[in-house]
Amino acid sequence: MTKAERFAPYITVIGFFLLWEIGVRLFRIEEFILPTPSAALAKLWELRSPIAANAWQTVWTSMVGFSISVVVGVFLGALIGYSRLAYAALYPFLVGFNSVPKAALVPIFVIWFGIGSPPAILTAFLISFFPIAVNVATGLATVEPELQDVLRALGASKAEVFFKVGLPRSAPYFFASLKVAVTLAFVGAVISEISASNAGIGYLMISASSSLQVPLVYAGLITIAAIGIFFYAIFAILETRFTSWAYRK
Amino acid sequence: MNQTFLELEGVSLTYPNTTKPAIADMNLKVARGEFIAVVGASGCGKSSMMKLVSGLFPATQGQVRLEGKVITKPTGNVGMAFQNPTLLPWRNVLENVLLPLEVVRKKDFRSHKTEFMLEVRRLLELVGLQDVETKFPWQLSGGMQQRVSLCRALIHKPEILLLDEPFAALDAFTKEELWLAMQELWRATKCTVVLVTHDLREAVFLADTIYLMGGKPGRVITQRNNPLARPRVLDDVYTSAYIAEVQDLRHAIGEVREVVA
Repeated sequence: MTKAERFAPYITVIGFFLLWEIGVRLFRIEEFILPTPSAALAKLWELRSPIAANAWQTVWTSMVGFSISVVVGVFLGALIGYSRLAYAALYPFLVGFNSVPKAALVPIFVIWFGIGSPPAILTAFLISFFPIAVNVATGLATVEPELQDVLRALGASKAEVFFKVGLPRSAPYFFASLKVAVTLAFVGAVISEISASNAGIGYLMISASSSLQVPLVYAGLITIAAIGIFFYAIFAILETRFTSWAYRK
Repeated sequence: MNQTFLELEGVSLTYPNTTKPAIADMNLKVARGEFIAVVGASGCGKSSMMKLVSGLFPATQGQVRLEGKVITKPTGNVGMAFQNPTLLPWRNVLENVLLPLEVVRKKDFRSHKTEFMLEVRRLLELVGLQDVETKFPWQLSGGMQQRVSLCRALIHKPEILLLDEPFAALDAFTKEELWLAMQELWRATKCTVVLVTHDLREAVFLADTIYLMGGKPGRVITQRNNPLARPRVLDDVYTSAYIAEVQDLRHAIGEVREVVA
């Protein structure tokens, strides 16, 4: 990695905020339409402890939802990746389900569970399990038939073929999907908090917006983005740690 | 030749969900330690024959017998190598070659691992590979990968080695080097080899007996004993006896194709 490559992401972010700051000052945009990032950051610092408490609510609900989606996603992916019957039976249904906007489901969850953490967890789960299932299935379905023959001719059981070949073969697909799924889980939790909660970053933003505390809304946005990057980075590191062979480093 | 080791008797194979058989009424007798080559045009049932001998598919009719015992399911007594080396990219060379032992010897694999590793090194040396143990497949050339694949096919000391066009994707020079490596492996392990190929020169270079398959469904059309002395060297390829042998095979295949067409 060259020096320029190493600094490029930071320069992009700083550049973005600088343009924003300069633009707002130059065109004298009112604070209730678009505050400067410095005002948003100042608000973030000023209200750091309530923001942190709400961020924690969002983080834990999305992590619980994400954990469920890893378990369910791997199970479904293994099922439709291995069994053509299960693929035929489930895939169209899953695609249809995935096409339903999850925001539209939140009111239903509220009827079932009331407002609070359960709708957020459920939304985080439902929005994030699909990419995991599809990627695991793809990884399993693309195992070379000759490779299976080599093992099966030795008398290997289906489980042995799965653990020796199928599972490691689909690992790069799995880890790639985790990066996508973890940010989606976060989106799901926030969506749910915006329409039905009394805690979390989504709730904080919607209540700040209704009382016209616009810099606080943006402080919430910045917090969400930062947490999203943080979780994406964690799973990107896990990915290179466990599947470096796939990237020939 | 000594007594029959592997025998196909009146064997037919029809794959599930198909009506036409891939192989019909096939007969074949192979002695222990014999090197046979099965040649024929694409789609004549050569690969299906491999599936029968490996036990991956049971015969629809007839019997496949190994030392008199009927084969209907995988026995662990075969090694396989294909045109594609099919090495596992997440394992280095040593771990790749060890793979069959993890399945066949799973009960005592851990306690014998050191001994197995020595065996891997011995095989790798036989095919002319040194200092590659810790390399990953993608760090090796196609020819080297194929050598590793041959070692993997032989590490668990199978009595039958099944080769499905293992050298077809290699360039001419590498291919000839691999012929020599294969001959060396066969002499060292004394295993029975079934080589499927459509390279007639390769069949004549390596095999004791050459079977010509053809027709739809596939069956053995004719069988030829290869008179060339062993061990064979690359210069043999240019002798008139060798060339005559290859030409005879070619004519035989030409006749079969005319009959079928």
